[in-house]
Amino acid sequence: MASETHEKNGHPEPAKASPSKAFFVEMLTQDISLSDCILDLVDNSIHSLIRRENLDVMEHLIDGTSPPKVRAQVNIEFTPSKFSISDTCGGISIEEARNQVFLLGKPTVDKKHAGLGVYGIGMKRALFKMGRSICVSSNTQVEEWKINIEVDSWESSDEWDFPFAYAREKKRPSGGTSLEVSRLYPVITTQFGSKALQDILEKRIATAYALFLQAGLGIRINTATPRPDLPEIGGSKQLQPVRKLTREDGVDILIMAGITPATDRDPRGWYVFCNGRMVLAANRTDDTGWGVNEHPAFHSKFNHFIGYVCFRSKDVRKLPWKTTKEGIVRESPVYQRALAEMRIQSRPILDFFNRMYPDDPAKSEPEHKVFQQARGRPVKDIASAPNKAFEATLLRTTDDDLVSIQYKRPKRKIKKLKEAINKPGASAARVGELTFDEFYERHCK
Amino acid sequence: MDRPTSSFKQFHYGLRPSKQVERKVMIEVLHSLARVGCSISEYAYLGFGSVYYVDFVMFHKYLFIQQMVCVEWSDTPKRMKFNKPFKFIKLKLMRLADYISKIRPRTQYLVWLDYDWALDPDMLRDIDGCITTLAPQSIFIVTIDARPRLPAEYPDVDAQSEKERRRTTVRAYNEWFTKYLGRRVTDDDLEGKDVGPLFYQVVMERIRESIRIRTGLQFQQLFHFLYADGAPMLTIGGMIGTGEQLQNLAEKNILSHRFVRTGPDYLRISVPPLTAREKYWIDSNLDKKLCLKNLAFELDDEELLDNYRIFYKEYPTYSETLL
Repeated sequence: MASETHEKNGHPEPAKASPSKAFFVEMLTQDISLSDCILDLVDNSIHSLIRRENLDVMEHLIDGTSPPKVRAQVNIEFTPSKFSISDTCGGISIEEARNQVFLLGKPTVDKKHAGLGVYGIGMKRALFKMGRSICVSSNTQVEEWKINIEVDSWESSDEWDFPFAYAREKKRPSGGTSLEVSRLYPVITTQFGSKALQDILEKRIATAYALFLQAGLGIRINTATPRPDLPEIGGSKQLQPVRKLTREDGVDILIMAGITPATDRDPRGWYVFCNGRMVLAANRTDDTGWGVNEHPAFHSKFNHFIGYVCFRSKDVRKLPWKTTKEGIVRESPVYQRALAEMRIQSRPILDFFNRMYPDDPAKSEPEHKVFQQARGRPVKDIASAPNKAFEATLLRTTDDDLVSIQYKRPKRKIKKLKEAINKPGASAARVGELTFDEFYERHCK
Repeated sequence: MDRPTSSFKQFHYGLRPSKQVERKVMIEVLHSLARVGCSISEYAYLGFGSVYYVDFVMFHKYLFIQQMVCVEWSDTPKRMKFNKPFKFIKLKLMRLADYISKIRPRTQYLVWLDYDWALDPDMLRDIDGCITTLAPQSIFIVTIDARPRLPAEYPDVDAQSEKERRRTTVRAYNEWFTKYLGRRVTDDDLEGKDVGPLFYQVVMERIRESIRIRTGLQFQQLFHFLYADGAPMLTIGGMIGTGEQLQNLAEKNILSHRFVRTGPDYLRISVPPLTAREKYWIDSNLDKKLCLKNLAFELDDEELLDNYRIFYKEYPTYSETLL
């Protein structure tokens, strides 16, 4: 009977669901860009540092304290034939290498540190994406190990584990990890040969790790050493930015928002951090609530809007980050809660911009004055202040305040006017002023 | 004059008797919340004052609330300050949107957003802001003009004919409300004296969407009134709370209170205009047998008498006082 051939011990044989190596080597690597992969490797280095130093940059940001000076370095080097990243962030023990680091997916999560390691997929995905020959080595202060992975032979064997080239005790003054990938894929070779990737990495590292760079971490990309890039929020006696710290399901949510100084010419938006790692920069999409329901869509009049949303938790699974750490998981309950708070706190700021750009420019003078007087304040100063809603105290206008008048008239008429008032060298604006004054003297005094 | 005058059958708008009945109805329901352990007197009241501060005076005198915040974006700040009836009222001369971000997350509030214009996106943002911020067991109430009217600043609406305005309104409502209704707004929706059911649906859906992100909290509707001292006005309100707190409302019979409405069926607040003498006569003769033909004076129809029967305790009497 047919049923007998499909049964084992009286039950139908189960449907097979075991993973294939090709899934990890070829498919999982498709969903992530090369720069995201490299940042994943930097995340790993920083995660080691967080554990070694018990570093919590967000905690210091909120408390207004300075983190202890970090003495660690991450070096990234690439050529069209080879990629390497090495760090002095503490290293990985043999025990961790054997039982955790190379597992595809993380079975347990460290809840002692506000770390950056979440899914246990970043390093493997990054290495597999780049090439076919991989070498990972690490040392702590008491031991060292090395693993070579030849992807061709690993893929063709039934064995999933990676054998150690060596794993032994050895005393060293400090710990660190080094990864090298060679036999790069042609598409990766091309990207490593382009200047564009270098530029992208410099910019992204400057923003994504700004808080760690400020704490003293050094990151070098070939010869470049990016400086932390955290746009300032404008403030003055009349203009107070938002600072709101709340806690939701074991996650600290710090929201800071306001207006960038007039000197900042870049359009901004929302910047989202998870445990100090920026996951969204200058976001102006519906990911951060723009254009959702009654909340306005981004418009150039909001170019000077800036908001920071910083999530912090020692249970990293509660944070709303994606496996690529670029972008957020919108459905996450903690992010939904933050979004509601972002809507509430940003509304007075957006209303301020709406009043700054009304149909009648004369009406917006008080707002413009307040805007022009705001000076950049470092994010850490705002982060550590008490909770405060946005406040713009408008300087009351008086009848003696100056108002601009702008209009256009044909050159020929202005030339005639200059002759009529005997000011041939005057500018068009000056002619406007003189004729206004003349009319006022005659008819209004 | 070729026909008898009937203007005495209408109230002077300034007295707004239905509004006054509404306030008293609310107070009666809010008193009953003591049964579920809500000490309304310890709540903070947040509302719009206008120069009369009527709600503030009543909620202080009858609910004993002492923490009061009046948010008013007024072009008469001096009048607002001058008319403040109690020193403890904190007058915030700002837009509600600016104040919502200052709501204290652990304070229980009684919030009454008593607008005198029709539903618009800004109002929905106010509702969203309150519902996502207010502490559990807070009471949130909103009153809106139930006529299909666009905001005065809506482009060109003043210059349009009645027909064009109707078309513009349908277009705007589709843009604003379709996502809450799950269907298109049509011309038929705007027929009749009011669009109460349409606005009710939009407001409740907005509340549901806002409360959804608050883990463990729900919104229990308690108020749904429609009244007209002039323009038809819609009031919707209820309590934010945990499942247990809201369950308690049912167990302690709050949800079966005669003025509580928990769904789309509303309580129509409509009271007959009576002289003081007529009111006292009816009060002293009020029983189940009292009907139009037993009255010592004329009254148009039985419904007016029935309405009076419902609201006789809340019915306001006015007299001139020389201060």
